[in-house]
Amino acid sequence: MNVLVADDDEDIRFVVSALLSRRGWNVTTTTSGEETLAALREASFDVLVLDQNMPPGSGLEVADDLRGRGDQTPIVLFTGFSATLDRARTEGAGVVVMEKTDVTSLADEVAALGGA
Amino acid sequence: MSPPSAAGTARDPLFACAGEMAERCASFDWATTPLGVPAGWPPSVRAVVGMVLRSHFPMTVTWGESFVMVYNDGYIPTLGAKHPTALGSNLAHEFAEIWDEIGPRQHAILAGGESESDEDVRFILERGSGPEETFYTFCWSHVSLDGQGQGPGGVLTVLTERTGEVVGSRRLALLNALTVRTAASADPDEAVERMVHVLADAHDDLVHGAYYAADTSGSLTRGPGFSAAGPASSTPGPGALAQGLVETCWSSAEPTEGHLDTGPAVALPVRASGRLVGVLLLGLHPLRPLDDAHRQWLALVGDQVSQAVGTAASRADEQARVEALAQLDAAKSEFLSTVSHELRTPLTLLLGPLDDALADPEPALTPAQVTSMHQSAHRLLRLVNGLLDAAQRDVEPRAPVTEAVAVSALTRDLVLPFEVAALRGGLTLTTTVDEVGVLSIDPARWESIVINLTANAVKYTPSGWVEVELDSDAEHVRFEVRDSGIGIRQDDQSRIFDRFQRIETDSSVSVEGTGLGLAVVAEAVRSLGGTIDVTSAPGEGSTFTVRLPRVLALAPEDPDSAGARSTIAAEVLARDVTASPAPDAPPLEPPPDDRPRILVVDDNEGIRQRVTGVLGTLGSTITARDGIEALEILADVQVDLVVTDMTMPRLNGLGLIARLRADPQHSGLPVIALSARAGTDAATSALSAGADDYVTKPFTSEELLARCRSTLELTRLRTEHAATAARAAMLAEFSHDLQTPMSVVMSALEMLSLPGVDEAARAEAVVRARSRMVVLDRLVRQFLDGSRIAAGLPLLPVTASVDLHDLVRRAVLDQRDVSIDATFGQPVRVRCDPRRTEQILRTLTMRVRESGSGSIGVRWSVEGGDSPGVDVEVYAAGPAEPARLPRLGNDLDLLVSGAAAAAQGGTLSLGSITRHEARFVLRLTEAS
Repeated sequence: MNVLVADDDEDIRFVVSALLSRRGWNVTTTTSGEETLAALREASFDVLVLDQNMPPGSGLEVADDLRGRGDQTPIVLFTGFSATLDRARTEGAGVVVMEKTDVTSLADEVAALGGA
Repeated sequence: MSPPSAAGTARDPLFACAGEMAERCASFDWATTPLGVPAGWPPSVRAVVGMVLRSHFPMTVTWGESFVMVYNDGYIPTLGAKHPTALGSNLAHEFAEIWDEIGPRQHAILAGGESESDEDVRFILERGSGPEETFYTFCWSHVSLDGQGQGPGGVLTVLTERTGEVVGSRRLALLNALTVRTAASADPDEAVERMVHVLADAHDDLVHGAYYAADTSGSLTRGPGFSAAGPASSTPGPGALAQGLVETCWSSAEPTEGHLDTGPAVALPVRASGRLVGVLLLGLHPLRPLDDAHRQWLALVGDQVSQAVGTAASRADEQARVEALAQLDAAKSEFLSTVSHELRTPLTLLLGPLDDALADPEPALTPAQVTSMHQSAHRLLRLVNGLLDAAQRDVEPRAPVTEAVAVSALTRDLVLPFEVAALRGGLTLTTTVDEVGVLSIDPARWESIVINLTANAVKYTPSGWVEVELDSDAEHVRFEVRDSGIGIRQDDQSRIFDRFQRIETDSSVSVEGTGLGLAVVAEAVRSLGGTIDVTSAPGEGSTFTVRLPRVLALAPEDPDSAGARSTIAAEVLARDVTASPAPDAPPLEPPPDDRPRILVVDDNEGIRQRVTGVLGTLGSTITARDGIEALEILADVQVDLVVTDMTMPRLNGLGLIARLRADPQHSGLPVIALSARAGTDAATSALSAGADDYVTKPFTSEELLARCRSTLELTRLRTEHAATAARAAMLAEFSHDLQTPMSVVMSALEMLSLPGVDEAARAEAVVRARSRMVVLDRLVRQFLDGSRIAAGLPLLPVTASVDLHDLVRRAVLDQRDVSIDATFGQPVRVRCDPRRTEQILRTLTMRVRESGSGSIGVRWSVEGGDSPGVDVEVYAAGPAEPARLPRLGNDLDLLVSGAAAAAQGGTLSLGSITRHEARFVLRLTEAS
């Protein structure tokens, strides 16, 4: 299974990649909303794990862009603080919201979403 | 013509061929045999004898009832010792040992019967060295005298000895069986049992056998064996002979032949992994003579047994190791996941109240919650650090990473938390650090040495002193920690560096710890190529001295690497070692008089008195005669409202208002202007100058009171709203900022406890988690300070005397563009809470960066006079945008910084605004 992990924090990219690739999945990482959109034009993935704040761009912007093109790839919005998120927007974009401190459940969630 | 024989007579042409038997026949006195002289032999006899002598295949022909033997060279081995007397002799006599078997058949063929042949037939022959088992493929056929195929004649035997092949293949089969049957064994005892079973089947080669196992003292015990009756796990006691043979073999480690009651025997050494582990005694079948082929085979048997036992032993070892590793892994995983689970509790206690508070429209934390969160945060940080430590010790010790390190500065930074901890515990910790230069060294290992030795000294010294010294000469660096603590017994001194040793002490000092500290130090010293010595006696304290080779670095210290080093391990360890931690729960102070305090400013005493009277029901009042006096009062006293006349000498109302608004500390103070001038212009100018309300003289009491009340109420609402918003923002920001570092730390712990992650990744995860812990630690502390302030609780500073330059350097370590202007001259020591002061300076540099545009600098000066102190300025050189200048009242971090400064007896203020330079001044107390 191919998973994309987008986060502007280098340590988060490192540990999340390690936790996901030990399940045998191929993990690609990007560092910003813009970079993620570019990566998604080149390749497709089974599940996306997106940080919210990763300028330039954000996780929700990427989600909106994808959904706008009719792409229904499952997305986990992996955020530092969900209380500030616009719930209407996250529901509209059909993303699963997970908090960073729930990282130990992330792999299971990705597995469930990707049907792995 | 045939050559003359040695006896002078010419050789019979019949015997004129090559070979020993031809010669013997030629000189044999045939007249003594029933055959008579060869010249008289019938042509058929001569023909057959001539054929036999000339053939290379083993043959013998026997004539008549006397079975007179004539044989060729090839037949000689079949005779063995019977040659050469067998020539012309009677076959029945020569092979008396098997005549019962073959006699009747020979007679039958002599009488003209059918030829007989067979393959690989076993005969027990006597060839001179006792009866031996042999195998022959042979053919017996009738030879007639008259050439007619009937009647009197002889028997021709053509044979091939097959002993070698048959026995050889039998022996090979045994070796194969040994290999196959013992191959899968993973238990040396089982391998021996199986081997004994296989050998017991070799009835024709081995009569009995036994395996003697050696114990650790080298004495041999008879184990499983076999006899003619079959295998047995214990065979009847050996004779002295057998024991002697076995012991000879053991001491010589060579195959040893001997003779037992049962016959020949051989003792073979058995080795596993190159070591001698036992002896295999084999009783040999008497019918198998001990020739070279036999010896070779026995040696092979010995080898095979050795291999079987050896392989089984190493398989057993391997299995044991795998099991032990699996257990260790399981234990480690369980440990990590248990403690990981334990993290959840303090984390929940920390985040829970936050979530609850944020769910409320007016988020706030009670003092009890703050205290609880404080304890949870400490516990969390300590747990995580302990986990990271434990996990790091399990990870393979990495090769030393050598960097250019300013060792003296690093050492001072590492010892500082212990100085603070020692103070709290009533100990004196003196640090004397000489400049030893920028050295090429592994900073992590140096850190291990410094903090563990210092922690131990503090831990084991209930009262008294600890001295830490660092110096060097050209060749070596010396780091020494001396204490006046409980000391170490002579006997224990060699054990203290072992892992997991904690020495029993008589004292009632309660000592925590995992017993790994000194082991870590010993390992670090060893890997840095140095030595460590301890001098100690019970009740007389201890001295630990580390000497390392002094290797100067070729390049200067890399500021990024220096910045990346954290002292959090030192801080956590220091927190843990003090015997009685300072109580965290502060005594709640009685709430102060919460009525508003009002400053009344008017140059007319009558007015002052009247206003004071009117406002008496609202709050307490202070009076001032003019603007200047008002400002002087406001410098010392906190008020909630200013009621001021507009026309006053020295500084009038407008001037006062303008000054107040310009001062960040008072810019939010509500002001009501009292004026004699009526009219909207006057009101407007007062209000536009910054007054909150305007009352015209003459005024009624009710009017004044109402105006004051409503102004105070409005201000209160505004402040509360701002405070609520500020609190909410603070909680939210903390919650948010906590998430990412906690996520990294939790992920790192997952990576350490789950399979499928390689060692390099695990080690890197630990490094990253540690650096996030530094941030987490600061975050938590800053937040908790803020919470305490918000809850009206005092901050409890811990004061120490520190070098100001060191303090400033540490504070700006992780920011690269801050310049320290140390041109003050001599070193300055300040009395402060080092950690909080560092945090204040960190906050100031960040704020100044946001407002200013130039490079950031820190400088200080010592002020004397009426208000002595050390003024530390943090500034951004270059024009600042006034709008972006920070305001002390609105910024949480600055609020905390201000409170922290006050808690340690200092102040924080904005520098002069008029120059539009973003500047903060932190006033600290100079240490005496």
